[in-house]
Amino acid sequence: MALYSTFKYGSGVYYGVSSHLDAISPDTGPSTGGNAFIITGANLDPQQWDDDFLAGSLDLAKWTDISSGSGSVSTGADHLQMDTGATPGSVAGIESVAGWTGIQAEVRAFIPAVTEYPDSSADVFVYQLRIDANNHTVLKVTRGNAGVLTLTCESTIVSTVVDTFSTTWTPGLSTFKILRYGAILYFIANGIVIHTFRGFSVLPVFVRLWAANDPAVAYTASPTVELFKYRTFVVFGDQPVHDVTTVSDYRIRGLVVPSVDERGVEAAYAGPVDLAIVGEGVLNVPDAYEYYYLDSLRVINSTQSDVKMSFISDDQIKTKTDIKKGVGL
Amino acid sequence: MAFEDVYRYNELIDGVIGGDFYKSLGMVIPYRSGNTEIRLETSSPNTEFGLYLNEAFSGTVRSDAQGNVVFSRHFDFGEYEIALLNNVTGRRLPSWVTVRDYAIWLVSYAEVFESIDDNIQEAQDDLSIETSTLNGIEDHFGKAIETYNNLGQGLDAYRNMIHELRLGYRNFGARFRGLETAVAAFTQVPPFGYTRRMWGPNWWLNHSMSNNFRFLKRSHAISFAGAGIPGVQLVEAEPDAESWYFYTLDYDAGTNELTWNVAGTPGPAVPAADGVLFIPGPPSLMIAHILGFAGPFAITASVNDRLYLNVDDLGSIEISLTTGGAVLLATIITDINNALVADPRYGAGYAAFASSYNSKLLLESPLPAAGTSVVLEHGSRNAAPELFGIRPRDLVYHRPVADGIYIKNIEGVPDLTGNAEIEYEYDGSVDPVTRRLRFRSNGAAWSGWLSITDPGDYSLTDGNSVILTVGCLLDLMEVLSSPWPATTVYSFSIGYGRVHRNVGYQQGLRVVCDAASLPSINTSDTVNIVDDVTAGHLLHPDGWWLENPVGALVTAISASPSVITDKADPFDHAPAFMWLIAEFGTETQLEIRSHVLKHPMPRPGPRGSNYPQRSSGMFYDYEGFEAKLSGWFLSSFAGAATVTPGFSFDGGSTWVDGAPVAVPEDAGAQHYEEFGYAEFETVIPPGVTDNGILARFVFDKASGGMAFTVDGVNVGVNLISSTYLGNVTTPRSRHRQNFGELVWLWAPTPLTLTEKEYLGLRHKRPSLRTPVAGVEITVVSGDTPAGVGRLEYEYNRVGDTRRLRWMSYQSSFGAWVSILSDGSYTLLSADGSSITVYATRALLPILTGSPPAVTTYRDVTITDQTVNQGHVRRISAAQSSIDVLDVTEYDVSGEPTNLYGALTEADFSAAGLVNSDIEPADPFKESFVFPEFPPQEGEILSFSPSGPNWVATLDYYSDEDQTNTLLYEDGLLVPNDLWSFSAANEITLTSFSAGAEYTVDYGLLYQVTTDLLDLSGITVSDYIWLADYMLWDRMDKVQDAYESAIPVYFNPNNGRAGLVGESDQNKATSSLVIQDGTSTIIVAQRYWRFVDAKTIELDLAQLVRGAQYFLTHNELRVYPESRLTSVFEHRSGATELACLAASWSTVERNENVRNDHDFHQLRLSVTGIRDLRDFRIRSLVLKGLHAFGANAWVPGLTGPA
Repeated sequence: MALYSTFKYGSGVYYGVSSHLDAISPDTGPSTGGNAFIITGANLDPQQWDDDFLAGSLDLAKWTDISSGSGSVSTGADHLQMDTGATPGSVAGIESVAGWTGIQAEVRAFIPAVTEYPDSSADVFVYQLRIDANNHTVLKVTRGNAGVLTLTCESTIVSTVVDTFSTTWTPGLSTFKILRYGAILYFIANGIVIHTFRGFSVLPVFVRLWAANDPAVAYTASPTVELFKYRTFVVFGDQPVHDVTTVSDYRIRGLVVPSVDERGVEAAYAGPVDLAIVGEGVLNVPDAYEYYYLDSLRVINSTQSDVKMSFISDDQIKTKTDIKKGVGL
Repeated sequence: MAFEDVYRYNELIDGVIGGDFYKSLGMVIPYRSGNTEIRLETSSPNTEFGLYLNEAFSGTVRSDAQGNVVFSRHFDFGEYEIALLNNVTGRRLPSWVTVRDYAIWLVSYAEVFESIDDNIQEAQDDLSIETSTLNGIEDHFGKAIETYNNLGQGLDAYRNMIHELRLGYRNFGARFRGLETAVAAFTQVPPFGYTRRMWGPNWWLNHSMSNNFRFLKRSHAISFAGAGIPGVQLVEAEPDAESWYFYTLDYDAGTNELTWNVAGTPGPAVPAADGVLFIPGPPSLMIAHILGFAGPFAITASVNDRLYLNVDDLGSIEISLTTGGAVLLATIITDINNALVADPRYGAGYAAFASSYNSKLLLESPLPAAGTSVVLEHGSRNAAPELFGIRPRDLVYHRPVADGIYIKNIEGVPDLTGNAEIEYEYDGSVDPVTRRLRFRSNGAAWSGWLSITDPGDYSLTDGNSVILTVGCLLDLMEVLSSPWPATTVYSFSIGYGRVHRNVGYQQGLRVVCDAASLPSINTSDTVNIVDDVTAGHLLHPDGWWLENPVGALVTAISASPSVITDKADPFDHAPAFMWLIAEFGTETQLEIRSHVLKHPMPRPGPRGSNYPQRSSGMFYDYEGFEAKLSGWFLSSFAGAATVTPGFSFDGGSTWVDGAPVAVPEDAGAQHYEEFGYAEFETVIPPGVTDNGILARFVFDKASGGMAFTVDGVNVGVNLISSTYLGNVTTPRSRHRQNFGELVWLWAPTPLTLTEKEYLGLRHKRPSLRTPVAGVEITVVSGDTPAGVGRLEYEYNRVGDTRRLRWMSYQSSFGAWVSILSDGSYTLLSADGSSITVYATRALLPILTGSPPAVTTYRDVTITDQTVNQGHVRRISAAQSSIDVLDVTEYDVSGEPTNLYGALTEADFSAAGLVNSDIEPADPFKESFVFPEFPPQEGEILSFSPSGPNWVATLDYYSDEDQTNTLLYEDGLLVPNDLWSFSAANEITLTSFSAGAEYTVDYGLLYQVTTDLLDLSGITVSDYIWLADYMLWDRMDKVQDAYESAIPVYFNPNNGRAGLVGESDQNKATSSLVIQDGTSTIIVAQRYWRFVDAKTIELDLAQLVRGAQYFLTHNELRVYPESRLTSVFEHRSGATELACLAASWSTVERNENVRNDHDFHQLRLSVTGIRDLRDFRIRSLVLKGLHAFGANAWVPGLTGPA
């Protein structure tokens, strides 16, 4: 267990434990990825920022109430209830006390069905990683004029929207994650990576969860947040694995992502990569994992007859086995 | 069965007929008039290549992001070399094709082959559990043992489970190890088997673990003073026979009877038959009597102003008593004596029948002791309860009171003037039908209703605290007609009666009689009984001694008056005696001691190699259980006195004592007063030495001079006691409860209905498992009443809310529970019972109807407790009756509170591992630890000097088995007296050759050390903690010969017969015989022979048609044999540091460890593997049995199973 101390955000000195890596097994694998890995170490499952909002009041050690106007938040048996109230321009929301340079937090939010159709739009639920008012990224569900819900990923740098992605969304329970590692952003909805962006600022971010109604038209947004959970993730080179299984504080496991070469082509790189564990802080281990090329299956495919013919070449590096493959030789 | 090779395109090519036309280079593709599109996979994405066809440049092509190169060219008939030349590296990648017409049908064949090959591949995969497909594994393996992948497991976890289950059935069927494997396959935790037949109550009725607990044995010498009586050999006298007293044995030749005289008073004559005879002495000197209260008494006219007596069998007499609120004892005495004197059947001789004894009302026969009796009888307005109280068995009643309802006991003080009532309710409108009972004694309020669900005993307590215990047999209970629920009332009267009768004989003699040698004339001889020549009259029972007798002491043994009264039959030679210890000097303290019974105690006890229990255990096997020492005491001297019971577990060095208990006084010294009871309980600590447990009683009395009588001494183990049956035998209907096998199991997560079914646990079962789409009932709480319950579902499109609520039978709905996401939800009914459901929100139905909220419901019938056979019973021996009981306790978050250790992947990740690795599993609880590295062969050592020797470090921690470790010097074995292990990973060599290469073959140590187990969250002393582990062992298969005699049936055409099992074909150890019912004829060896291992042949000329042949031969059988050696260790401490500082001690499986320490650690070391698949460590655990404390509950042990 390694202790560290560091200044954070100019607000004081935080002391604590940091994630620690003993080993990754295996420490080598094919460039195509897909193989299972196990990381052993310590402090791999930080839970101190997790919150199910079942306590009778907001945990001020973790959150600050940022509600304004007629907006309010409450906690209890029904978890975190946000209610903007009808006053236009109101906000109901919270902001994390802590800030992170690397973070993946899962938010389980219940988006109520749209039953009112005022001529306005509203931010029904917003999950934001915020550096300051001018630099931030959001994953938000908005209600348009016709009552259609839209899920939007949007990154803003120096007050300019530099990246955006939208898709339609449905009410009900959703699980949202934003994975942030340096300049890399992964937007994950219900377990699926819906968008990535690699040009974000590298400054520390705070988490904000809120709902807001239209600045001009009365409307009430009232989402519920069941859970805020910090999810440890692993990065091979600069390829994050967002869905690792955290077995315990001492063990996480998952599937290796494909390597990426300098041109961004998947499975095209063989060689060592740095390994980063983003859990209790960001732990970087140089050259901890090594990709190798698999012996490749060459297929000659006549589209006219659809006959598959192939043979195995041994002209690649690090051929691991001589197992038989395919229908060929 | 051999499978086709699935890679058969080559075969196809090879199958093409020969000749130049069919020759091909590389792949054969069909000719077509247009272009053929070719795709080549390369390892170079986004790379430009030059394309050459038969060395002719044909343009450039570029690989895509996957490295694929696709191009279209026209190919004429013939062979082509297709070469890609990397424009950057210059590397050349050649491939070949041949273009032919016949390739058209090759293509067709190939398509069919593809399909067939897929099927063959799947069939091949389904041959073994390890490769079986997701769809095939249940059909091919799971179905055979009725275990499906319906527990939410990952495929690998399911593979491991059925693999272990199948091996369990194969190797350990009908054995406890199989049962253990079956349970652990689902729980990861081996169960604890408890054999009530061996450990628990047994037919050795009313036995105690106290040495000589009834004072039946008193060593003495017995001999004839003269010539004796021919044919009569003295064996022993009863313990109450006094030393150096006047005894004679008389033989009456005329009647052929023996008589035993004590000081001239003969006992009954006994016919002098052959064998061991018991000859009673004269009748007991205890005069029949009944001692009552001191008064004054509340005698109310017309209520309790009568007393009904029958003394010395002279007839019943009704006595009127003086009435009044505080009638004095003397008045009652006068009333009774006057009434007896006035009755001609009794007369003046009974003028002092009633008297004052220790200022209490005494009724005592005036006659000599023999045959006297005093009987209190029942009658109206009976004053007996006021004068004498109600003791157990004073109340009388008739039984049965109704069909199927039998009164077994009544306790308390009921009003005897009127009838008591039992009301019975029957409801046939539900399935299963319900039956309930309530009770009230005369004038009392009804007890609560009690549901009768199983055959057995039930207790009902009415408003006057009178407790009625009834036995119920459901099948015989009345079926009341509708309308239901229907009720009926059964009335019965409660009477009173108490009897004291002198029927006992004392000071009996046991002899061996040889009838043929008896004399022909009457013969008599004096018999000497001598305890101790020098100490004279000191009589004390064997196995007990006086530890603290300084002054003059007298001890004596006499027949027991009341505490143990089973000398009801004069010929009962297993009576009970009491022991009197008196000191007439100035002592103020007496102490008696005894060893606690050791017999029968084969060591080791039920733990370790005796686990599960193979032999009876007694006191010494119950470490961790509470032991109880008790006895009955009476002081015959006036003055306050106490008795303090105590145990020593270390041979008497230190003692743990109970609190002093006051001993009742009987200043009259007649032993008429009731004895006082004292007991002391304490936990038997671990590590008790053989024969090291002692029990003692210390008597204290302030003034000098004391006489204490001890009776009914008992040492037992709470919960497990051979005295459990008391003085009744076990009815057949309860036989299973007392004699079946118990299996307690623990599970790391609450067991679902499906798991309970697999394990054979009792559970309540719902008629519908998925009553509403998206809702699966996983648990029905044990207190859910049987009957039709209702699950209601509500959908509200406003806010898209989805809710569930539950109502059990004859209850009302509990609160709505909102289903926000997928997961388990507990739905409470208003009566407190509950069901747990797993809800999948997306599957919950969108109801249509009147908006916004729409509801629907389903009725679910909950059965009463029901049991599937389950693996536990299927894998066990036929005819075994097993109660499987889940004793795990969970906290509100579902974490077990009496199960600690390394069980899950998370637990193992926090554990210390040596040469071992963790198998990931889904769910985490099905993870295990397996060997990471195989035994080493040829590991090259690098020695460096260390003092006079040379040392080398091994790559791995070894098993330090010097016998089997081989050290080589340049390939030649180094004698193992020249080297040794100086540490687990270090070898020290005494003779080193520079320049030589040393290699070593050695086995590895595999070890799991759990994280520190913190039990401080619970009251650790309330539990018995059993240390255990689950080590799945692949087992080696060893073939061995087993002599077998089998019937054989010869084919009359060829003289051959098949054998069921393989034979070792050794004729020297085999024989063939003809058995015709009257004789056995051995067939000469030359006439028959083994053809092969499973066939014998008899010369046809020798074949006797119709005869039955038997062959005795050595059958070859395969036995599983473990190669592993394991060491299980434990340490503990009151604090974390104390635990970590404690030394490890080896424990056996299911050994009870300290329950006064909050911190524990377990370690398991395994050696002896030959393959990485040889073992799986599934768990190291501390399992808690909640045996102590206010909420102690171990089903089957602390109460009915």
